[in-house]
Amino acid sequence: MIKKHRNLLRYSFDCLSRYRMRTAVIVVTFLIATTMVSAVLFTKEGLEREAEISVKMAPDLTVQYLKAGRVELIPIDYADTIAKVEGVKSVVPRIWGYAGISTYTFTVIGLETSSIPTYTTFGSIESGRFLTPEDAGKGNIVIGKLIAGLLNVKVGDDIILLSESVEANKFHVVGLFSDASSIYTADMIVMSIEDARKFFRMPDGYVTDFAVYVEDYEQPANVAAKMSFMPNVRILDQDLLLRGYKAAYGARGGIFVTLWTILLVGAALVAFSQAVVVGHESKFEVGLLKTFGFSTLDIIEVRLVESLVLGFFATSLGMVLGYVYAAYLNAPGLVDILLGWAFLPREFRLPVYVSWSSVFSIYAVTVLPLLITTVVPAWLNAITDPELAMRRAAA
Amino acid sequence: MKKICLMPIMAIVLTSALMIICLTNQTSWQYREYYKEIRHTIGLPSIAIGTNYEGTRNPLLEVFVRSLYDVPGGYDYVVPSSFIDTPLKLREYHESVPGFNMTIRRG
Amino acid sequence: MIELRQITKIYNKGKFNEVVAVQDVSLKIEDGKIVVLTGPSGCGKTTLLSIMGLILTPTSGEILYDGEPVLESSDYWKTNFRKENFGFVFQHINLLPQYTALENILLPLYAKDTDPGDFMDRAVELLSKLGVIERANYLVEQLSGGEQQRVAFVRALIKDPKYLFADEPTVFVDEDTSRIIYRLLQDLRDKGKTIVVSTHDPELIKIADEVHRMDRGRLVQTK
Repeated sequence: MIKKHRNLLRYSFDCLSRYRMRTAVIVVTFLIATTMVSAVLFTKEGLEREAEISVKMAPDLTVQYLKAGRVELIPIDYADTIAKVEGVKSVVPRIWGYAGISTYTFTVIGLETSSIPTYTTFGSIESGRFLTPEDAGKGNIVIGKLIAGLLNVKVGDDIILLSESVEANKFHVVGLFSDASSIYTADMIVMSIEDARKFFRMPDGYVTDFAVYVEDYEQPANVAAKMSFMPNVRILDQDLLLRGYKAAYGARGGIFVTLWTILLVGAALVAFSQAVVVGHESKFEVGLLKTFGFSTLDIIEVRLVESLVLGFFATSLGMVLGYVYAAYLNAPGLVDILLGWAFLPREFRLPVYVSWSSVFSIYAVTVLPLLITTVVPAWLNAITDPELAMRRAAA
Repeated sequence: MKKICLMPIMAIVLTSALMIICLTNQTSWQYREYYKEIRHTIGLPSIAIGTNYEGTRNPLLEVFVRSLYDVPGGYDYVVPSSFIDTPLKLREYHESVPGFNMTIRRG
Repeated sequence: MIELRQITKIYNKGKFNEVVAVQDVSLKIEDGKIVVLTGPSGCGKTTLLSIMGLILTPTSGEILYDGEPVLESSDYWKTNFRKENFGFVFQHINLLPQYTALENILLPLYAKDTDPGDFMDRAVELLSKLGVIERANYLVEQLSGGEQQRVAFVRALIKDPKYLFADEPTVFVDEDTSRIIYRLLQDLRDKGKTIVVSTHDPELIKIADEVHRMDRGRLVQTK
């Protein structure tokens, strides 16, 4: 039996070169569709994963102040009230916002330098140092790689940032975040809370929000519940943030849905051409093979192998290309459409996540329709009298 | 029929390559660590996608920024989503962002 | 021995375009004979040949091979029976155009648990016998009608079948080739093979052991 299966395999492979046009149409269609979809899907999932990881870096709870349903500055006095809540380990007030340099937007974060824990190593700093209590109000900043590259500055240099009120503010770079942390820190400017207040011209006694850390034995949600007595506050935990971000990157994203639709339409078109164009030729062939003594199972085996080879070749190649396109080439052309990025630092790489589920779902929408549209007609022809199958094909 | 068909060999090679990519990629993500010191000093930093995309000037998107809880980084998350679709159209969006409901319901 | 009992084949039965192709045909074909089916076009020769070759199921009737009824057998059994015992030469030749002559000849062997390469000597011998050895590696579309017919003969005989069913085997060939085919059929008969041929060719009718004339689906005369 081994020889027979070897013969059938050889025959299947030969069909691929014999139906050259069909092979080319399927390969090209699947290649374009899967390359696009996989590049988007891998990137989308990468961003979602990145969001998951970055949310882990969020404080256990973020406390904001709401007025008329909108987020406003929160009185610094709230820090004492929050600190007294059972289970709260520490409360870090933050002033933060966005600033523009040239045409790019960056995140400016002001920290209470006195509450910065003293770490023996600060792994995410590449050169220089992180802020210390002595930096309060001195205009010292730690910046991300993106800004450093853009302004061509290094530790020890000064930079001038324009605030919203178009005031020139001079800052001194004391540290530079590392490449490794660049996905989080590339566009970040960290300064003391006093400098940030001055930069954003925020009133004394107010901050943007509080980062709250709870004791290890406590559940953040339980501690949040204990804070509900405070008026006008919104308490966010990591889970809420993650759900918000995931909503933003959800699979319902228009571009992704469009590409997914293109793939499905492509697969359907190929399936249709299979059924109509090749089906005719194949009908005759199946009849002839049956006459020679190929059983229905033999014919299904031939068509199954043929479709599997074709489907896996085109889809795998498409996905590999999609991966290379996204992970190594940074998805030129697509990245602007996909993410609306105006600028991408050279050292920054798109986060690409290749999950089993994405890979198999892409296989499912390409290989399966191909299998169905090839094997089912072949099976239907194989169970028909060979003479009738050949006669119908000739008609 | 004695011609060597490269396609089946390539199909196996490419599928195996993809599986290896998948495996190594997932492993690298698994061992990805977040920066503890950043968490304790800064809290959530932004995912660094510096941009000044026009879409973010949209007042509707400003509301969306707030819907993402107005935390550092939220702004950047909005930028990509702004291009993809108007999130307010998405019913699931309302469902997935607790505490943010732009619809009026009868009490 | 092949025995047909009251074979009837109706196409599109019960529909407005119903055609009775074969009606109530009973026939016994002894082994080791050349049997010719003749008659006007559309009289049901090809249909009857296909029914005998188990590639078309009759509407009613029974077929027995060596006394065993076969129509009730499974599709798998019939396929295997064809594989082991039958060779077909079709009226429309039915070679796969993208293959060479030799590849077409070896095609029936792909369904068997054997290496088609082992049959190369036999293929060469038959091709030489039929005078198309120099065309072995030509694509079908590069062959003339007569050459294609001869290649189809070699394909039918490559498995050395017990029964050969040939539908108008000399219709596309010249006189010289026809003579080669007559000689080949006689050789096969001498080796004990059973050959059922549908033809109008008077020369082929001359070498037949039995001639059955058909008209409008019925057997009207047997010589």
